[in-house]
Amino acid sequence: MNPERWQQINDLYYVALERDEPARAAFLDEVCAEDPALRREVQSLLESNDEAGEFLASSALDVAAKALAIEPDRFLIGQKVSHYQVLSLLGAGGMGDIYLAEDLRLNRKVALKLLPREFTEDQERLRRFKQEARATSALNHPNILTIFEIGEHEHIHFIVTEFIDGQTLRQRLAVSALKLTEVLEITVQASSALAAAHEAGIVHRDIKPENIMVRRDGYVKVLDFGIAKLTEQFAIDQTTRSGSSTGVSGPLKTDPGKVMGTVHYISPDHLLGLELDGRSDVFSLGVVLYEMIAARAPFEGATTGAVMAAILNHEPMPLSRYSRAVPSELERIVEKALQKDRNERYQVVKDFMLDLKNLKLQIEVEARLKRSNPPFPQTERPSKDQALQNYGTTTLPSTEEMDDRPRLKLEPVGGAVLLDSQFYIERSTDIEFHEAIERQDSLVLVKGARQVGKTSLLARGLHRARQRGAKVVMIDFQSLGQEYFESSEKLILTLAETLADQLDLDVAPNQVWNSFMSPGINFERFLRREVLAKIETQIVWGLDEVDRLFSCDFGSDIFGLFRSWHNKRALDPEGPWKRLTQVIAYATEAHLFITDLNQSPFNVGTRLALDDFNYEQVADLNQRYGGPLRDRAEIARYFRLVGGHPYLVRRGLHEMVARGWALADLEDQADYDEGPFGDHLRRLLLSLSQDHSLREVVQNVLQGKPSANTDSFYRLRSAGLMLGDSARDLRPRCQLYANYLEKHLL
Amino acid sequence: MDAISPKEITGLLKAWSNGDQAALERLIPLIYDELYRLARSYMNRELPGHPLQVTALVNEAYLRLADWKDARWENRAHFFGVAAQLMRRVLVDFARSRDYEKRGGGRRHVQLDEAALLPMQCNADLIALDDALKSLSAMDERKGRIVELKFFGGLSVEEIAEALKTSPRTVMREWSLARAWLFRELNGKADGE
Repeated sequence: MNPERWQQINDLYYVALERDEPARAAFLDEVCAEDPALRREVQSLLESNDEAGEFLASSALDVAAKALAIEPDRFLIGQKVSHYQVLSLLGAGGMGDIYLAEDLRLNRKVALKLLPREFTEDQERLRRFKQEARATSALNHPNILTIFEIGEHEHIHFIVTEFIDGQTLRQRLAVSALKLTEVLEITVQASSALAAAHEAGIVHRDIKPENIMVRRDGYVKVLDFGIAKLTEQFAIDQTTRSGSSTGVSGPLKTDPGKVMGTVHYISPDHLLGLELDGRSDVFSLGVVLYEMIAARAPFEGATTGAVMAAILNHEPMPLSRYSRAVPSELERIVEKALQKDRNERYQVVKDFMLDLKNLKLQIEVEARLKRSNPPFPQTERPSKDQALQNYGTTTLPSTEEMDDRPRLKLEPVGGAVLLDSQFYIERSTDIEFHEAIERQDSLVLVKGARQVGKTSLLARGLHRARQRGAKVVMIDFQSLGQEYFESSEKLILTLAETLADQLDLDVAPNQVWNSFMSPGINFERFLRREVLAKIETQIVWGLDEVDRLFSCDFGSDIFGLFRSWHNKRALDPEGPWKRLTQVIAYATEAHLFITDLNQSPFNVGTRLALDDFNYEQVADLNQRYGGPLRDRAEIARYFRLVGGHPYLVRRGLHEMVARGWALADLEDQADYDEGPFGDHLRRLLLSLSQDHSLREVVQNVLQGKPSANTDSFYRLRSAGLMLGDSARDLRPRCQLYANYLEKHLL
Repeated sequence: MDAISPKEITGLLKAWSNGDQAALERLIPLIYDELYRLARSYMNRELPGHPLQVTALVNEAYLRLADWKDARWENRAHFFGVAAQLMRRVLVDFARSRDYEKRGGGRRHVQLDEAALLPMQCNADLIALDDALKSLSAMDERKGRIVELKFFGGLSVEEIAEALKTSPRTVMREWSLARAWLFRELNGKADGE
């Protein structure tokens, strides 16, 4: 641009800037009458000025410092805290980040832990914590981490401890299964640390795999004695303040996205708010022991509340469920450690330790006799490698964070999530579903839009039922060829044959079929006489992709059949029908085509509507994928893009990791047919294009003029296409849908 | 690292403004220290988010770095001008190294409105801004200076007016235009890609 032109622009801009509309427009109209390009230029700059908002409002140093403050991982490295030179980040957690540092006075490596400010504001609590931590360290026990200093630097409280060249038990467990003897050895050493502390009157209060370190040479160190006192009080304050006090003094969630700690290891006594003694630690260590063998915690649940309820009320699954190699003596020891009533638990951790020691000795002697030490089999993790067969292994660049799994194995996205997948997120419906099956409900409906995880849920429910000894049958309607849908006779016979086959019955259905009776009656008799009369246990019958029936003529007959069995059971609760649990999964997209809402296939049974992931669950999955979304702001942006749609959430994270994409790359590709979500979006459009009136409603919504009537509102909403509380409030389910539909419908 | 006295820093700044690149090498860690100090205050929530206080803090950073009253400076404005340049140089390089590290070298333009919230974007933005600022300076050197003093130097409008020997009102409207131009430049580029 030549200087004169620029000067001209300047002059006009300054004058226009001081005028408000419409005077501004009038002014520009007048002076630029001959030169529309000049007018456009000035106008565009004025608009940019209006849009610029907070742009460049703070200083660069400030912007950079804020950015750094959000990324503490790199923040301290190379810095000095007191006389410690920070070298690298060892781990991060709710209790503060831990760094490897060099003690510049004594020239030795140490671990430096920074305590978050919110935990150190209460001076009295801080004082008690320091006292306890020092007292424990003073015990000089080989299995207790030695504390060198508890200090303060520029208002940051820090703890300096010996540096352990090893892994936390959590990290160790992520690498591979432990041998039984290793499990016992670790537990014995940890008990030994606790025994010494308990004798000195100190309760750990927060035993969990993160607080147990395994050194390279096999030495076990228990960390963080007393530190729970700092955080649990904080957690109580937070919950009380937020008005949702549960009366529980465990380390609870404090704010969304930041999980203070896990509740899986908290003892019932702790949950009940009792004055704690060593028996609480026994319970927590029992949980750790259980997890080392089963590869899962004994008390599980989708939410903190559900886990706490399980700890208080549920009996854990016997360990033998997970591994046949569990000696009955170990089963007994674990059971005793996990007693809910602390009076029935090991009364001192020393007894627990002695039992474990004896068992270990016995196993070692036996092994010596056999001259071998077979690895401890883990039935729960066999097929992780299976997922790799049809998909490449991606190794993530390793970060300094120790709690990252060393390698992330990607699994194909789409279809059911593998039973042992590390990418399966439990939702509240998981619990409800397992409970319904456990209660032996007669009819359980699992419904949700396409690809929200119905089959994955079904698979897990049936798997659990099988583990509990139920007989399980599974029929996927999508896998049946078109020929089976020719007549109701044919379909019903096929269903009966599948049952007979999967239950290993001696009788084939067509042997007992009576040609004078309707297929429905034949099926019912077959079920009653050949199935229910001969099998004594619960039968869980999963029927997946049942929406296939919606488009077939006799679909309602089949649904009528299912309903009639449900009614039979209601009439005779103790009769044979009580052993049959039908689990029916269907996609609610079908609602797009069911024009009469009363025609909806089921209004009976236990209904479970699958929820979308919430923000935390998306954050959790992001973490399991190795954190392709780099911070909470990115997670929030991603959450806006795909909503909590389980398939979309997972697909996107998968693509980012597999392709090494940043969020911006994904955003660029998101609404293209060739992009990562293309198949999903195309199908959406396809089903929508089959109904012109619905299509029109969607077009109107996109243009901001809602026109849905009650019927189309419910149909669009239950099909998972749109969200909203009323027809007026109808809007696309997520930004991605909005973008894609706009592109193709407007 | 050994502490360097304000006198020495003044000497280094002066040397650098006269073209001595080795002096920059010694100055960089000092700015990093200030950056970390400020970041740490944010982490500890010591700083209220008030822009005025932040400006004061940045000014304080300079004063800690060097003694502007030192006779070797022509005037206060000269000192702040050099310091702002230094700040720009160091912060942009810093952003560039981090951006490179994280992205494996890939450069990108990103929306600016959430810049202050997002560390990754912030790095990319600082680099993009630096580029755009070069174009602006090529066309209108004085506006480039104003942006440098204000954004990188953290100077107030009054201080800039003093440095440029003009009125705050003039600085204000030139700043408005420069900012609008940069904003359009950065967002326009984002659209075009």
